[in-house]
Amino acid sequence: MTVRFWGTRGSIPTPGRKTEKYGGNTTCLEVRAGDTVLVLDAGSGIRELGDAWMRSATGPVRATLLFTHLHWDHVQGFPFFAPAYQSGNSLTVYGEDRAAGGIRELLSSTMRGDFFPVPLSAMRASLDFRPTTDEFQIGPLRIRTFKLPHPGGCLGYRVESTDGVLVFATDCELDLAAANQEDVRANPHVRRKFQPELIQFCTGADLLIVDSQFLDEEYEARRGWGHNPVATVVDLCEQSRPKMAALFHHDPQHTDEMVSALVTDAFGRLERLGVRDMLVFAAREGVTLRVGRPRPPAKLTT
Amino acid sequence: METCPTFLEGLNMSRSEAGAPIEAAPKTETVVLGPSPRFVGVLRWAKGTASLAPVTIELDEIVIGRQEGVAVPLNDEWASRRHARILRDGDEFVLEDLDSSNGTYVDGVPIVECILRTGDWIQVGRNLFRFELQLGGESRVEDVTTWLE
Repeated sequence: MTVRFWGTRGSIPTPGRKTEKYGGNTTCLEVRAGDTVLVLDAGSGIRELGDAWMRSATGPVRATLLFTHLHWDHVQGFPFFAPAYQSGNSLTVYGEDRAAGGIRELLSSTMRGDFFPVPLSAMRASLDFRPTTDEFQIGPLRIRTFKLPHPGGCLGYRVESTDGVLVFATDCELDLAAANQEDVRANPHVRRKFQPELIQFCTGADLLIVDSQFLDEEYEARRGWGHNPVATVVDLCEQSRPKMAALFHHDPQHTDEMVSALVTDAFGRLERLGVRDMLVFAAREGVTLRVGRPRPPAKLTT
Repeated sequence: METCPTFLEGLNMSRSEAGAPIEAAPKTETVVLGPSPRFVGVLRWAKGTASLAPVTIELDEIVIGRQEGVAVPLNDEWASRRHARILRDGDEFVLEDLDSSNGTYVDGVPIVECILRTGDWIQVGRNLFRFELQLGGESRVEDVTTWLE
């Protein structure tokens, strides 16, 4: 199983020189396991994904889109997803049922009236909209969902294949679900105690892609916005022990240097917690990774 | 509801396919005169078993590995014969691992594929390289504004 990052930024696209390393497109991942193709979220990164598929396709596109939630930065690329306009293509679209409607109605509402000039009905691909459940199967992939603490709600996805486990936990503020949240608020350096269900959901991941939007010193002023400071992410990693962890949903205010600083902060806390056998890095647009146990690089000669 | 022809053209869709009437529309086209050569990639050897001069990537593809005749030859038993390659796509340079035995790393992360950025550290076997983008000539991209009928 491989995963490619087409969009790693949170909140709003941030093009420009200051963000060119980690990327400015909002959330979109492409997961491949044999002939099975998943797309996780349709932030602005999905436009380039769709264009790449249109250039390289030798036959009809068949894929499954999984939505974590429908905040702008996770849906704004959907109307620009070219394969959806091509007859002969088949897309299955999963999203959580909400009080305002199912995934079809909600996506359609973003392409209606004053918001967008092309309606959902102009999409000529075969579109099969389905509500998410706790667990379901897509080809050889077993999918599990988990409700994450985020304003309006967000689903985490666990994708299990025969050769690896991917956990995608974007848009979450896990401090608000920690059993010792009052202690943590009084002293942010305190180790978080997470609910066993969350740890179970993440445990065994070869790759955990997790919301790490804020530097620790930024978090207090942004409490309640629905995103993690890096200390929280490190505590989740320490307790669930993924083999690799990708810090994700980069803050639109963060330059490449600030994202790199966030990784350095993560290293420091991991070391203080005694964790040394984990590869932690910042998710980066334009990178494809294999989901599995990473081999450390050869020792360099001088 | 009427669809927007300019939008659909951006998606490589025909107007008739979208069922929209053909209307005159102002349009700005970007005309690319051959491959865009504004940047060249440079691979600088930094550390390891080899001692190589900087390699300027002007071809569409260069291969790194132990095999004789590749653009970046490595005398390194940790490198596969054809270990990795760098593909040029306009101003972008894409590093691909070629199913090597010991992996290809960018900034310490094992990659299958990676769009390279200036300052990236690339490790192949026991050798470390730094990638740089350099201005390599004048832009050959022109913006042309026309009123299309």
